[in-house]
Amino acid sequence: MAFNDYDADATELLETYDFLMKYIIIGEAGTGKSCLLHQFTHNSFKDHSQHTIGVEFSSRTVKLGEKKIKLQLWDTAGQERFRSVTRSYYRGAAGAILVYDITNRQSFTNLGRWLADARALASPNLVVVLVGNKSDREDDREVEWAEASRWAAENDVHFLETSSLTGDNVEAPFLLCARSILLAIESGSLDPDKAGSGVSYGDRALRRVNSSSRLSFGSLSGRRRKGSSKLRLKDYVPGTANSKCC
Amino acid sequence: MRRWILGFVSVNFDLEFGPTVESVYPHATLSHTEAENIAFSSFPDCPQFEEGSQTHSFRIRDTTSLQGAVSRPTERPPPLDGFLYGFAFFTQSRDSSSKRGYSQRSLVLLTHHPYPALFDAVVAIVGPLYSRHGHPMLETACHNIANWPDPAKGMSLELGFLGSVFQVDLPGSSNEQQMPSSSALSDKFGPHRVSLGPTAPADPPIIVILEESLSHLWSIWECLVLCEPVLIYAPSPELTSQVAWWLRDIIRPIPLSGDFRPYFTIHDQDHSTLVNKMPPKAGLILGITNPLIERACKHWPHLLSIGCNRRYTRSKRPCLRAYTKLGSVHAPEKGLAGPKPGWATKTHNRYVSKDRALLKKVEDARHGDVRSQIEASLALRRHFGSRTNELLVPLHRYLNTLIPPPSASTATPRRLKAFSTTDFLASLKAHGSPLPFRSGSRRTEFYSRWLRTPAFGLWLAQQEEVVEEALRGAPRHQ
Repeated sequence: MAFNDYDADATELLETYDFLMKYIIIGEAGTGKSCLLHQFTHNSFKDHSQHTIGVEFSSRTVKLGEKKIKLQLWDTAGQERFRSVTRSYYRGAAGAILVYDITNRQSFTNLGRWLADARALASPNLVVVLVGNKSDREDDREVEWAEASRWAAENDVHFLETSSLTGDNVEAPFLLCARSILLAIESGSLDPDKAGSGVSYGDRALRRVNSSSRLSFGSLSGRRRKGSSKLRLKDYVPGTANSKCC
Repeated sequence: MRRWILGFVSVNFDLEFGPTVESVYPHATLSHTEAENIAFSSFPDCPQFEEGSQTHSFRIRDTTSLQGAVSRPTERPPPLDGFLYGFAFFTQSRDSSSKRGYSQRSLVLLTHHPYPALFDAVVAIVGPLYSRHGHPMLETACHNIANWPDPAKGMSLELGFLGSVFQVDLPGSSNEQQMPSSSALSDKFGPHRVSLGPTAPADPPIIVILEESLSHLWSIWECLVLCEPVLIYAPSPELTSQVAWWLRDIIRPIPLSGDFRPYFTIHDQDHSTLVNKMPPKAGLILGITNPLIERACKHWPHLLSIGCNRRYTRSKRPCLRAYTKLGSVHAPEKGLAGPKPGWATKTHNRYVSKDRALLKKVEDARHGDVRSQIEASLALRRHFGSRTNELLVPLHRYLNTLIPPPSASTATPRRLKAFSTTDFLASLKAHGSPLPFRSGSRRTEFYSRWLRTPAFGLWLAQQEEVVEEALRGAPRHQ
């Protein structure tokens, strides 16, 4: 079913949205950031996920009430060797999904460093959602919900637990983050027209879109794209052949 | 990744050999000639500035496509037009540890796709990040590109690259005209950029670069469509590239018939073929910065020279200024200055009237703010784009009469009837052309000349192909 949905999306010709928001996904290596994102954009678990190289881009449009919001998602590498590379993408992010692994205490104790980096480099109105991932592995839990919840409250960030294996709760952090940003816009504390806010108004332009996040499905489908139909004979009139617009 | 680019080449300055290819990432075999060509083409061949950086592009022969070449390495996809396009980010900074007192490097993106706006933006982003963060940044860049969807013709794509997102409309063919939508103008969201694949980068605005030649643009356009060879001289490869791509763009949908080199150096393997005592080849567009080449091209009919003393609007660009402190191996000999800025032609006599209202508007905008400069540049591009279309209107009208009627379908495949110059000129006389010619006889002269250009031949062949394909497909559509 998911396959068919995305096949349809890959050839979707129109895309409109009210807001565009830039998110970063950060946290230690191996906490399941890419898998969480994959669940969110593809509705499936990413088997044999490799370490992320630097940063990876994907996008998804979500609906919150009447508003359509396009999320630009930048998944970052947790590995130390890419630390300086990934930090240069924090700039201009409106939201950060900060991920730790509930079965790995180390990934929790390092959170302070990730948060400090994000706060220092991203939008001044940055909304952060702390995500305790791998909630399906209750038996191996090393970080209690209550402890993480306390840390989140102390550091003024949202908190919830997810499972990128089962897909449990994976949409929540992204939507929660979008809602907080929308509230900030509505209350006037965040101005989308300001440079570096990480948010912009959608142009509602009619556009054919083939997002790179759909690549795996688009190329599997093998269907001819709508944009490539042959020029018909009746189109062959003066001045119109070969010219797109003018 | 290689659907889009061949890779990134890092070029360093070697005290003994000059610019040298240091590494290619991901690994790709370059022939000795290619490596040398890339190395020299990625460096300015005359001093640019004390410290700073710039982007430019070049086009060199892909030697894997040459006859008698050893078999192509498996990691090298076949070239599309026999050439490799290089998009370079050149940086120079003071370095007391170097004997020359400067460190000079260039990062070059190699590709078979002529998408200057996109790849210029790509190197402008990765260049500075690469100097700051080193190899992991190149790895990340390549990985991003590897995740891009196929570069399918005619598609509109969203491409994420190192924190920026490009909205790219790929042309259906390399000759398709593309006009920017209004949203291309407003860069309202820092990380979200809108750009067009095949056109020239829009910064600095073209009307600023071509300041001294604005009133001659109508002659320049005519020379281009008539496949006259044009030499572009500018003080930097950044400017020659921008001008060359812009000129190429305004004659779309007419195909490019001659060789096209946005930045050409004396070290290019084709140097002696393109620059010699013979008359230059038809349709050749050559961008140069070295006064020595300019001298060797004194017999060329047309020269477009770009001035060097203006302030550019491009942010954080040092003012382009020749200086003598740095002993670059390519420094021009003392006393060799470039030609006077402007358009110089020995042979061309304009056929078509200028659009004086537009010229006035553009000249006014030249002294206005950046926004009006950009808008006027777009208006200019749109104007010449529609002039090129207008040029083709009588041709299309005549070609329509050559399409065989549907009833004539027999066992033999239907095809376009043969093109007759006499019949076309008669049709032209009867129906005219939307182009504002200075007189009726000039109109006939102009079209007679155009019919003899190689561009016309290529264009006609394309039309025949389109029509025949449509004829074959016709029963299905109707």
